[in-house]
Amino acid sequence: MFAILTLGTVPPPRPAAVHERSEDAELVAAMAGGDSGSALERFYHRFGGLVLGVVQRILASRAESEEVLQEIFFELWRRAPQYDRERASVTTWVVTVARSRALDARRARSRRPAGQKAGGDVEDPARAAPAPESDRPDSQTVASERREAVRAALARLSSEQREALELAYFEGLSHSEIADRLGLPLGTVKSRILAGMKVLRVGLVGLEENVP
Amino acid sequence: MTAERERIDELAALAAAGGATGSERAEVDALAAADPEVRALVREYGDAASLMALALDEPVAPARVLDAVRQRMRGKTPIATPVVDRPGGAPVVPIGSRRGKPSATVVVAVVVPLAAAAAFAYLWLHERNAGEDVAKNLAGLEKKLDEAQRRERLAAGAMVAAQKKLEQLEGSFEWVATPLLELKTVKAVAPDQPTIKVLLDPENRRWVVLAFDLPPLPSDKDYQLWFMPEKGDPVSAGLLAPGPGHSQFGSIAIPPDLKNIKGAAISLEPKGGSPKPTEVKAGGPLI
Repeated sequence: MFAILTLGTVPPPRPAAVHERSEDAELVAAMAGGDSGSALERFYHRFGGLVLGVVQRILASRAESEEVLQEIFFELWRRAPQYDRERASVTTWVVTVARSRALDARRARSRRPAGQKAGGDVEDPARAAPAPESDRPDSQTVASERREAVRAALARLSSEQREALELAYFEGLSHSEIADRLGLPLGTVKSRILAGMKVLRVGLVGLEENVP
Repeated sequence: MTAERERIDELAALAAAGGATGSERAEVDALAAADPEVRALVREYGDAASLMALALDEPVAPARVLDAVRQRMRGKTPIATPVVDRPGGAPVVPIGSRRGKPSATVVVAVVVPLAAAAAFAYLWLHERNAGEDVAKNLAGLEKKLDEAQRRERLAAGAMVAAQKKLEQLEGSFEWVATPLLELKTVKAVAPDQPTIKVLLDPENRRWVVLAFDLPPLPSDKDYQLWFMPEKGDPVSAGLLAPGPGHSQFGSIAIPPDLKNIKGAAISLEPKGGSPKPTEVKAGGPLI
């Protein structure tokens, strides 16, 4: 006999103002159809900064981050047909791939002999992407407001919750490794992460209702 | 919240935050694949976790990286990415000034790094191809897992339907345990007429009808049973359904106002039945 799992009342996935703009899924669909022109360019302008921010946070190296940025967008383009809207918003899908590749690069770096670098840390602002429509000052203001709202939601985390979450999310540490690093029992680490995630989940609901 | 629901909630939250073990992540994936409610939960925690990323500053992504991605898409591999203009880098030397027979040192200095680069490129391509093979295999396995889970859901659905049917049948025959039960036959009025047997419970005014040897039922038709009262037109007793032993089966309550039923008939009707018999396939008096 098959057990049929029932979960009671779980809220259905709601369209997320912070995570999903209506055109995101269309861009992914266009890339899945093989569009390597305007759809890819718009997708890159939409998510390039976000991805680079995540990768830099994890790798702490601009040059290495740009190498990984290229890998990530190539992978996103290649895997666009596999994107499943039911499982993740486009933003979360992009962030997940970015985080995974950056953590892979970080692990690979730790295996490289000392002194061997992936690239120099020199930035050339003159070669930055031309500002697309989404980077106009008014759009930037909205993006900035949105970021501030997200930061306000994160500010509700206790310092212990934030620390544990950041070690898991940005450092890629397992719960046991976090427990070792912080000198805490494994159960305490899990409890902090769990409590932090619930805070974020509540914050997410508030953001969807209030962010433009 | 049930204990099971609480456990799934915790698993989904821990997996979204990162740091969960492989088996924990696999369990979440399997649960999400099988249940849309878990999928919704995983999606919501995924969005919640990505707030960590959305709070970060967003530097401007360089156009050269986009160019490099496009080049890779065309099947070309960029030589080195990112290409960074270094202020104070090596001076540009005009080609003309370097003409002339290169010295052995220069040849070695050029050939050795080129050979090393070629070897490195070969190894890199080899590793990349291996990685792509693994990704393909993984995609194949994921597909198989999806298919297996789809079949499990179908099987579970079929099991539930079968259980319901069994309960219906058991309910239909519950009343058979009565000493007043009568077995009747609808007497054939034509040669080769299908056999119709009726279990009759006069006290509860119920019939169970089993009809054998009816012609195969076309997909756009139904067999309909009719009560034949002593006087007046046939009264519909409802549609028959496929029963045991290739029979057609019906469990019917006799309408309270219907008296003196003398016989029964079965007709072939358009899907859903008709108010009056159209094509009678069997019928006759009850004996």
